[in-house]
Amino acid sequence: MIHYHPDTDRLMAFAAGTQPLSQAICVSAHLEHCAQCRQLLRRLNHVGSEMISSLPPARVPEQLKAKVMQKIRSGEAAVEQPISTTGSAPGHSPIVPRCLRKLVPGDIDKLRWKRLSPSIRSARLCSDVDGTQVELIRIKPGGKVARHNHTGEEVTLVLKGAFSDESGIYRAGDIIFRDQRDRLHRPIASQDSECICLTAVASPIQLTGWLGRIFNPLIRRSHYAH
Amino acid sequence: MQDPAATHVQLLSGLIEQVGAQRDERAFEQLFEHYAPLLRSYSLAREPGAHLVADELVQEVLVKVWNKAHLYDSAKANANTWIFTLARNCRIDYLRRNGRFAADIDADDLYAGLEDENSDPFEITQQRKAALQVQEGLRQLPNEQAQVLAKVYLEGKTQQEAALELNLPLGTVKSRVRLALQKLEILFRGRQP
Ligand SMILES: [Zn+2]
Repeated sequence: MIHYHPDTDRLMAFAAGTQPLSQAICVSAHLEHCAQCRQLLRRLNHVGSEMISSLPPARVPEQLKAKVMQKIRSGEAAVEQPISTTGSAPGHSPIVPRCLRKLVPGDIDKLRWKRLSPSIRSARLCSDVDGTQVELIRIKPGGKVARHNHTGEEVTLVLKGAFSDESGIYRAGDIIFRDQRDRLHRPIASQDSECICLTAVASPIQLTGWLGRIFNPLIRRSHYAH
Repeated sequence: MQDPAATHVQLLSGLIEQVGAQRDERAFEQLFEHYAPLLRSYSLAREPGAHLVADELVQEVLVKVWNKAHLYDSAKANANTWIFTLARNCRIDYLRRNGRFAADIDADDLYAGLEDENSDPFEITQQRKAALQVQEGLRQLPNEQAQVLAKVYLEGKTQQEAALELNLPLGTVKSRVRLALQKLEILFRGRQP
């Protein structure tokens, strides 16, 4: 049972396509788990489609239709095969969201995992143009993530296992948004199994001054570490 | 008597299916006539004056219509909504190619399988009704609410950007969106924000 969903504003941004990619990836992964949000997404799509339909039609240049007809006749347009949306392709870890299969083509164990602390490892998947990092995080049973503040927005989606913090317990499919208003946040993985999460972290912890300039790269790398 | 708007959408859905089943160029041309001006308008809403970009979007979306028509199922999706998702995805990919998004993930990866209406007949009927309610409701929406929806869906703005442009506090934009979605019966009053 999923208890933590993206709010309607975020789902609307997803429907309209106005979200940063890093956040859209996490929302997409949540939707894959959540029939309730998929239904709301379809309704939000109706708004977009009716808004387009009610636009004043723009004049279309004469040659545009001829160009398109030529494209489809020349075979430049290739009829597409359906994208498989059920099950997982052979070799895929079933916990990897569909939207990330290009970035995680095989087993997640084959990713380049970086050890952040005795109980936490992370693997970078991609970064958005605004610098937001999208990563997979694995926390050993009972593992603690360093207490940290947020300087930007942090999105976390649980893929496997569970973790908890001061505000609740989060299980597979749950999505959590945290920002600078949420102070001192200290997640702990549940005792009974490893916890795997997908995260998008907007901006790393910032230090200022000469010390900060020296240590920033280190701290940047170990955002989740002890 | 059926609602004429509903009949028109059904006609468009039928055309997409004809293209899918028979590669019918006549049907495709009719789709072009109907959708090209709207798609061009959609692109110009985001980038006024960018006519080449708009022409590019029209071409891309219509070529996709040709390539994907056989995957379309009118029992499950309204023609307008299907076209909207294609147009939105083309816009996202265009922005990604132009540097707004960095990774090697395209819009189809993000949305694949999430928007298909399921095959439960009850759900299909519900969604049909919902689409018509939206169409009807949009006409009656107060201007200030329609305006924020247009900023997001047509101009591709975030709520923060909409607030800046309209010179309104973010909270006001959010509450207008909420009121609009309640009027369109998309948001049930029971749903948590
Ligand atoms: Zn949900």
